[in-house]
This record gives sequence, C-alpha cells and structure tokens, in this order.
Amino acid sequence: MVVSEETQLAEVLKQNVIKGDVKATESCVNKLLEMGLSARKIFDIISTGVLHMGEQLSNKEAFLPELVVTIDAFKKGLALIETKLKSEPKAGKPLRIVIGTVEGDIHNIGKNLVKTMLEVSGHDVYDLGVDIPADVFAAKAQEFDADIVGMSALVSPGLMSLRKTVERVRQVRGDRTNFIIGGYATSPALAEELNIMYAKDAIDAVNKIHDFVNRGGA
Amino acid sequence: MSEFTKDEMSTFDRVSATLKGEPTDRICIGWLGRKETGLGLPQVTVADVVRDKNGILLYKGIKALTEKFKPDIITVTTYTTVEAVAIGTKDKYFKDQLPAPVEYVIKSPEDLDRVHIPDPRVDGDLPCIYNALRKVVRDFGNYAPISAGTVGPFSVAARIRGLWDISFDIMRRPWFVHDLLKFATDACINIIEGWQSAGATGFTSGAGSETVLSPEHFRQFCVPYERQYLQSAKKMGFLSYSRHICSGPSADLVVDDMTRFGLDEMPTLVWGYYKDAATMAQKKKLFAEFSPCVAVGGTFRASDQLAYWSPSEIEAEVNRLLETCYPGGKYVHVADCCIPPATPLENIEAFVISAKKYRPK
Repeated sequence: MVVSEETQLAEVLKQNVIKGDVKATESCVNKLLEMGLSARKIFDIISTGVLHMGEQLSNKEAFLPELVVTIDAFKKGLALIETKLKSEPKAGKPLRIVIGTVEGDIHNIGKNLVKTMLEVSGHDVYDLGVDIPADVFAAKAQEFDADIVGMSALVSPGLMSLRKTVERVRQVRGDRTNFIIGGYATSPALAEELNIMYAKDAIDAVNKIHDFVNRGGA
Repeated sequence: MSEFTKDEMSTFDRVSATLKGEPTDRICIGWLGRKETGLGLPQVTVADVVRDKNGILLYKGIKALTEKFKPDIITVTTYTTVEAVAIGTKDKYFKDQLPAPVEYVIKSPEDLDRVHIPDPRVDGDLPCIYNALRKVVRDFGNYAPISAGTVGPFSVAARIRGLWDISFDIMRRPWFVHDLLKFATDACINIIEGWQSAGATGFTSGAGSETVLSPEHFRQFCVPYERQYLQSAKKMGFLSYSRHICSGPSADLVVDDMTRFGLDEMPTLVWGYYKDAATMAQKKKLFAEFSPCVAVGGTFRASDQLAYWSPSEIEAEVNRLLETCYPGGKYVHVADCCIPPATPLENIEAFVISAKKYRPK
C-alpha cells in the first residue's frame, strides 16, 4: 500500500505534538499548509495528538510535565492556522459548553485540561475561570444557551457551591442544560445523587460527552 | 500473642510501640487537624486563624481538639502554601477553607535572586505556627509528641513557581528546576530549624505537587532534595519524620519510591492517600523491609467520607479499614488529608472513638 506524503506528514505532526516538539510541529504545519491541506484538517491532526496524550495521562503512561509540553506544541501549531480556521466551517454541530471551577476553589489545571480536550474534540467552550459563583454559571449558561455546564471542584467546600450551581442553573434553564463534574472532591456517587455526569479525568469527560451526544443529547 | 496490652500506655510509649510494631493498649490516634476552626472558636474564620501572627487562635483550636479527642500525636500546622506565601507567592484567603495561590512569586530564573529564605519567626503567616507551637509545647509537650514541618522541597518549589510552569521547566529547562529546588530545600531547612527552636520534636513533609510527576521525574526532582531535608532534620536532632502522600495522578506509582528518602534515618510515619486498605497494608510490609521503625496511616477520605458520611457509616468503615490494616501494628489512625474545616465534630468523634474501641475479631 502506498502511503501518501500528506498522510506520512500528518502522522509525523501528530507525534511531534505528543512529544511537545514545538519547532518540528510548526515546520510540519507549515509544510501541510503549503501542500494545500485545510486548516480544519490540520487542526484535527494536532488535536489527535492532544487527545492521545490525554489517553496516556488517563492510563498513567504520561503525567503533567509531558502534557504541558504537548499543550504548548498544540498551541504553537494552532497559532499558525487560527486565522484560516475561523473562516472554515465546522463539521457537525458542536455542543456549547460552559466550564469553570466552582466558587471557593481556585484550582485550574484540571479545568483547563478538560477545556482543551473539549475544544480539540470540536466543541464550543466558554471558560468562566475559577472561583465562579452559582449565579454567574447560571447567567452564562443562559447567555451562551449552554448544552452542558462543566464544573470542577478540587476542595471539599466547593461541593456546596457545586450543589448550589446545579440548583441555580436548573432554576434558570430547567432541563435544557446538562452537567458534568470532575475534580478530587467530586465522586460518581455525588453525580448519581444529582443525576448528572461524572468524569474521572479529562479524557473521560470527552468520552462521557461523546456518549451523551450519541444518546441524542443536545 | 495479642496485639493489645492490658496496661494503659502513655502517648509517647504508644507512638513508639506502634512505629516498631510492638503491642499497644489501643490503636494510636494521629493528628486530627481540621484547621482548628469551629471548635470552641465561634465566628472565627479559617483566614482569621492562619493570619493571626500571635498564633493564639491556632493554639486555642489545637488545645480544644487535643482536650476533646486526646490524640497521640499533635501537629502544629496551618495551610499548605504558608511557606510559599512567606517567600512572596500571593494567596487568596477564604472564610471556610484553606488559602490557595493566585500569583506565584517566581516568574523567571532572575526572580530567584530577588527572594530570600524565610524566617519562620517573622515572614508571612509563619509566625502564626511558630507562636502557636511554643504555646502548644508549653501546655502539651509532656502529654504527646509534637510535630511541625513544611510541605517539603518539591511542593514548596511548585508553590513559588506554579505547578504548570514547574512542569514545563522540568521538560524544557531542568537546570532551573534544580535551582528552584536548592532554594526550596534551604527554605524548608530554615523553617524547621525555627520549629525546633520552638520545641517541635517531630518534623513533617509532603503535599500534592510531587504526585503529578512520573516515577522517573520523582526520583530526579523530589527524592534527592527530600533526602537532604530529612538528613538536615536528623542532624538538628528531630526524633521522627511524618511523610504525607497526597492524592495525585502518580500517587499509586511514586509511593514505592518514598523508600528512597531513607526511611531508616529515623522513626517514620508514611500517611495519606493509598488506593485502598489492602494497598496500605501491602505498603506497610514494603516499608518495613527498609526500616524497623515505620508505620502507615490514612486511606480514609477526609473530603467525602469524613466530611459527609453519618457517624454510623464512619464507624462501620473504620472497622473495615482496621480489619485489613491493623494486624501487625505499625498503623496510625489518621484521615488521608486535611480535614475540611466544616466537618461535623460528631463525625471526627466517630472516627476516633471507633478506633479507640477497636479490637480484632
């Protein structure tokens, strides 16, 4: 079987993103652009690299330092195609996701990672940041017409804020918005009690949301 | 032979026998800090306690907890970025939870030349611990071993640089991480010198930052500096070492490498996150191969089991945990991490009383 130069280069690009090799990533992106590949296809390739690292993280084959350089290479590659990417149509209908760390908690690494993973999976993500009150979640969910609200809580006092956020968003939006939670303080039992989704890590969040879409959600 | 003696022991004898795996009169109860608010201190917030430079609120909270629960070990501590804040990291303070960093002091290698090793009597919120420690030693020094410490060199480095940035540096400029770690190690050593002068006999270490590393990076960036910290503590005359394992992506993997710290340097408690009771029992055996005087504790999840379960559920779970982990001794009864400040006291009571009453079936 003859493998095209484009396919070979795409695989090299993916591996360079995984390794966090910025110069090689940029070089591959530029070559693929010169070969006429669309920004959307290049985005899909570099996103696959990030998702692969997410899998490695989930399987404990890689850890935060390895992930940080993967994200760095991804962002540098993305910067080269960002303008073109915005002018190209997206395939399929992305979900609108509002994400943030709940009030009383300022941890952001897990939340940022989930945000990146959801973005590279093609969804529109609105990141509220950290220490976000329930009312702000609810207002942004309404403004953004969110399909899903994602909440991160690493410390246990955040669980009270998390419960309040679910309640407030439901008051404002009824059943139109679903929820996904993650972070050390959260648990599958809490998600079950609140009738919402739980993700044990970033790649699990992507998979749970994928399942949600396949079940006809949103 | 029964693992329990009939004669009541002093806390010092109980702790010593526990670490060696010798019979005790009951299970050894470790420190139960829940940041000391709410118990006899109405209308006092966590921020009030940790920023009180005289350490009076912290002392009062520790006194109240000690008198109520009679633990066998007392640890004087506040929050896990206190060292970094004393160096220049900026934290946000909360009413009902521990402060957390919002701006890290080291933004570039040049910043390392602009910071200084903190003096625990003067800098940031460290005087709160120093002054509370002196009072606790005065009042309880004859009752129980008293410890104080730091989060350890790697976690201090991560808290002055930021966990994301130090992770980036590990991959791209490891020389800078070693510079950070040398500074953080000196800071930790200087801080515990202060604690020793205030009367602490045991020292502590450990927080979550190192459990985002692969075992290879853990060996490279955590182990050598922790060893230096431990050896300096030994030279200062500290009598025991309490090493925390915080939950993190690699906690299950790097726990075995904690044997590289040198567990035989002094009597040691390795406490905190273990995947489950069976794992903790297994690690107890592993650690015993490296030192005759090392115990384990933890596993019981402070942030959900202890904070949200009912007292009867807690009692049942404690009994299940002890059935697996107590045989052979070398077990100290503590929760896996910081106890949330809002945890109901009846839950802590159930956690302690069920362990004190415990006898093997």
